[in-house]
Amino acid sequence: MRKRWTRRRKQQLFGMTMIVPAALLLCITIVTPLFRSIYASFLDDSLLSEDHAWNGFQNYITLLSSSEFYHSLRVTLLYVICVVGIELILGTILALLLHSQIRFRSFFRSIMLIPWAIPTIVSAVIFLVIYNGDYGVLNQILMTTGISDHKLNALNDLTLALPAVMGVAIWRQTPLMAIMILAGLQNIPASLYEAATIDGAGARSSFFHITLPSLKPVLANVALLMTVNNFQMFTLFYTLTNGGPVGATKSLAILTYETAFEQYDLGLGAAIGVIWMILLLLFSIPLYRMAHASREG
Amino acid sequence: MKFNKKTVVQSFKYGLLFILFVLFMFPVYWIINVSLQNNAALFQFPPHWAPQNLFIESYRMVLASEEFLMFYKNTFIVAAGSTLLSVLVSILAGYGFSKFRFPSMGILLVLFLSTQMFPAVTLLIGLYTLYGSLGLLNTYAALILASTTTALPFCIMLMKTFFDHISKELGEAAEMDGATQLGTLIRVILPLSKPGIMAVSIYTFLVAWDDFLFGLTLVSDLDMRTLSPGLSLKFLGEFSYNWSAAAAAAVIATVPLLVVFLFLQRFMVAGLSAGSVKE
Repeated sequence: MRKRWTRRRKQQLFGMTMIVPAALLLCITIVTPLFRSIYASFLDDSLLSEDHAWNGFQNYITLLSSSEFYHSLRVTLLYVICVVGIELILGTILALLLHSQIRFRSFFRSIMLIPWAIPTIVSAVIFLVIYNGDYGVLNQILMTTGISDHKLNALNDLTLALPAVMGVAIWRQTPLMAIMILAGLQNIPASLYEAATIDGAGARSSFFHITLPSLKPVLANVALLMTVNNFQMFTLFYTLTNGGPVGATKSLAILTYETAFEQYDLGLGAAIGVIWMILLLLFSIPLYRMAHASREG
Repeated sequence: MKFNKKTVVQSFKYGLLFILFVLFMFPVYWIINVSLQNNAALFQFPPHWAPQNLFIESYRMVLASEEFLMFYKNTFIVAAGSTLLSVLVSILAGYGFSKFRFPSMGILLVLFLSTQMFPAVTLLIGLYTLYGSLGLLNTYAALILASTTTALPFCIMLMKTFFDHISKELGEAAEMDGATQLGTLIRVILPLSKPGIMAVSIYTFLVAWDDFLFGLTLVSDLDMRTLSPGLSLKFLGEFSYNWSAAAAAAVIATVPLLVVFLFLQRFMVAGLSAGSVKE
């Protein structure tokens, strides 16, 4: 009896030891900086301050009374909701197509996923060239199809800049979404569909009663992943518009970066970062619950 | 009647596939098209749908640029280092979480996974001062650590799920035969986990290769620059009117990823399917 107990203890100890390297790594690059950032958000830590003194909630008060912050929050939320929503729909359609009996299926499966393997910076270069107001091919397409009768400069247009950035994100991220949903589709047991066909269910009814419910945890999971990624999106905003024109695409990531690393107000930047993080957590919890609850069910 | 309906559905399906194919592939075609024209041909409207004369001078120029080759080398070192570190650490942690039950394990796992929720720009404010005091600014180590931890939570989850599916009896049988716990992991479990290890490697490699923010801020020496910030500084700023070279550089920066991706993609699908769907 005693011997078995010590063996169990030894196993537990071994298991915990194996987790130590990961815990150390996450502590160095995530937990410690996180606490440093939270601490900095309560300091008067700007270029003008001499002693970097504790100033309580002053940064938060400044922030919550500035219209700039609410503007960035609106831009970020609009961007995240549109991008994730469109990606969910397009990704599901693409996954269903790649799952169905089509000719050259494995060819399409490989080739359609290519945008995902393209670095974000490269997609920025690609679309800067395509969107360009003077020589871009987008204008050629819009004008020959009659959608627009004059040249547009999408990234420099107050109303078009944000949708233009969204387009790049959707183009690059949808393939990953599709690959994950496809994996989910492949895991639905064929017997479920067979049973439904015997019960006389049509294609549409099978889709709504078998495919979608079975996919729910996967969809919640990919939605969570993409929400977290896009809430943080920095590269595309920085390289495509850098927040412009006139702040039309100034997301929280750009606002934080500008405040902390261009105006060197680390305290205020950290405060934006902290509020942003809390919002992201609030946003993720329902998605996390959904992914988790239906897994257990 | 039934036949008709089927043809309608079929043509709808192929029509949709065609539209999506064009939407997703056109930008890829376009960057290649642009990279094979000279700037005089590029700054014309309407643009040329295909190169009039093949122009490969930009590729030659980019490949001869010592600066670009250095960006390339740096990115490769960072991505390879991150991949090695991430695979090693996530195998250990994934195995620990999968095979051994210990107190408060569930909470620990959720804590590990929740670290990916913290916005990188927020962390960066603390990270910058921390690395400054540790003397890590302008080192490969800084970028490797940053990319590894970005990828790590997902990798640990993926490895844990993979190990969950490998029969527990297998490990116990090996231990009955007198193998140590580490020996069991290395000789019995790991050879069966290749798809999981591949998926973790590809994922980390892609994440590290794609990093922009850390490379932009944690490194300021020109000879430590990685590709993403390097491309942005070189081609999106003062030289933004050398489209041909920018496109050629962009194509060359993507090639290693495409090779990795096209050859190893099936592992990725297998790994993702195990890691994200089951359990």
